[in-house]
Amino acid sequence: MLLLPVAAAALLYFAEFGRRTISIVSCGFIVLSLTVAVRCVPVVLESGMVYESYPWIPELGFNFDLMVDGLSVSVVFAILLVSGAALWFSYSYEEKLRTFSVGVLLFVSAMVGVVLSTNMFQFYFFWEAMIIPAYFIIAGFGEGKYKGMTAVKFFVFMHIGALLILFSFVWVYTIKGTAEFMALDMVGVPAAVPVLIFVGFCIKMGIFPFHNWLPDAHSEAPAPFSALLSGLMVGMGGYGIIRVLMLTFQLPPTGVVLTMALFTMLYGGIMAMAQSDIKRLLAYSTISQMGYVLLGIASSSAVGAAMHIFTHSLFKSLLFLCAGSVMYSAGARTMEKIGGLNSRLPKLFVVALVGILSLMGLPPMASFVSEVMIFEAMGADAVALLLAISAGVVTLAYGLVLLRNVFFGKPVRVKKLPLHLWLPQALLALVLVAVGLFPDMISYLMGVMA
Amino acid sequence: MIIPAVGYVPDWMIALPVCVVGSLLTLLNLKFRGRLSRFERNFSILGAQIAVWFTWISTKVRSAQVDTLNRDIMMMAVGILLVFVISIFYGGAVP
Repeated sequence: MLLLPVAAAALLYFAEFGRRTISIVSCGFIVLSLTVAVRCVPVVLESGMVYESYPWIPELGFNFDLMVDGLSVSVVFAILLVSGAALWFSYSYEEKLRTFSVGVLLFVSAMVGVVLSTNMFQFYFFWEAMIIPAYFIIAGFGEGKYKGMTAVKFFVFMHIGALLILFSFVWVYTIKGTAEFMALDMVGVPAAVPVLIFVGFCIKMGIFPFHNWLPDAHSEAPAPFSALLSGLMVGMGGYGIIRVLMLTFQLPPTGVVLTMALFTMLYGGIMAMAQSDIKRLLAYSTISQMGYVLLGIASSSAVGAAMHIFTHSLFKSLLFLCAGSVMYSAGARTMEKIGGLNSRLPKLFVVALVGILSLMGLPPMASFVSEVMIFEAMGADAVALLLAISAGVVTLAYGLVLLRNVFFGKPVRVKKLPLHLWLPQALLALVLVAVGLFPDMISYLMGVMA
Repeated sequence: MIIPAVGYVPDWMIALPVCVVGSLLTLLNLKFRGRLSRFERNFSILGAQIAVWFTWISTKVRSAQVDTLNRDIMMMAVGILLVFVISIFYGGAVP
């Protein structure tokens, strides 16, 4: 799972392939990796986890260990599905396909590494490895005039978060003498440690007030990479909180986390309503949706939060790919310059409708299930519930604004959408509906946490 | 709020770095304005300041430590004023 994307990146970097072969190699290796992940599922369901260990730094007692449990394999499914769709989409979208595919494959491998890590330093290594290709892709392939500045901003903000995490990990290591997640607990660990880790992960998630980097990075990045940033990378922050703070340190959430979650949900939603640029609207919507994930964490619902990370990764990637298709066909990204696409691009309308209904959290979409799981775990606090439902109403409002302004109204002149741009979106839409109809196949697997 | 402030980490200990790091990142945002609209800049700066300090004060109210509330409100006012002044001179973001 981890090495196959790296092998594909190396192959593409050193060999001279045509566009079609590049696309086949990159998507083929992702499918192979997905097959390995699927093969892990029966073992995980039977024995709880799959564990592999290799010597790494024997002087410090570090091994290179990889662990697959129900939570990690579900997140790996999301990573590979979305990255496969994004790479497929890039075939007709990116001019410099080879360099772009190499960067994306390294980024994907780093994310899989984060999810499978079993000790703090390995986790941090992959965490850093995730930032570097992302920086180069935003700087080199960005779609706006501010791409250089945005890439630096992204790099600076990500590193502030990463350094907080590294500082905390080293602090824990000096106290406990081990870096293994399974051997760690809070006994003897200062309370400041989990707080700094929490802040570090919140920066990655774009939780208010650490969100400033997100709207710029996600709107300036090329559409297929925005799908990965917004769909997957921010979710890694949520995964980090679940893995490190909830499962390893077993910390109960506090009121501040709930306040931050509710504020982020509302803030992201309100800011999304004020946008006319479709990618920027989706970026603010990501902030709001990460508020839902944090709400699940604040309500002690690890499965609900993980399920929302999974569903959000699918529908937000789908919507960013739709935004890329709109930009490709209509040549514009602001809603004033787009309209009536339901009649001009009916196939795109169908998949975008699935994405927008998922964003709104309506049945039978997968996000309906994850949101219900989170709301159910909240309990009977009237004020918190009212604020959470208000955020849901705001989401409904900006979802409808997006639908009306892009797909209805006066039709604009468009060019034909290639099948290569539409098929990956159709795949994601299909998975969203399938998981919405049969949510148990993912939620049950997620419950098998080591 | 439904989740009681129990366990190893008290509310104030989360709220403090959230306020400090949140304020610093908000200021850092001025350095990299990029595509940010005037509305986003102003809302981001003032909204963030008010919200982070509100988060801090709300922890005090919920944990019934109201004896230090006046001091905190003063801190909030000074904090917002400071960021306001820095914003004008450094970023030119506030109208």
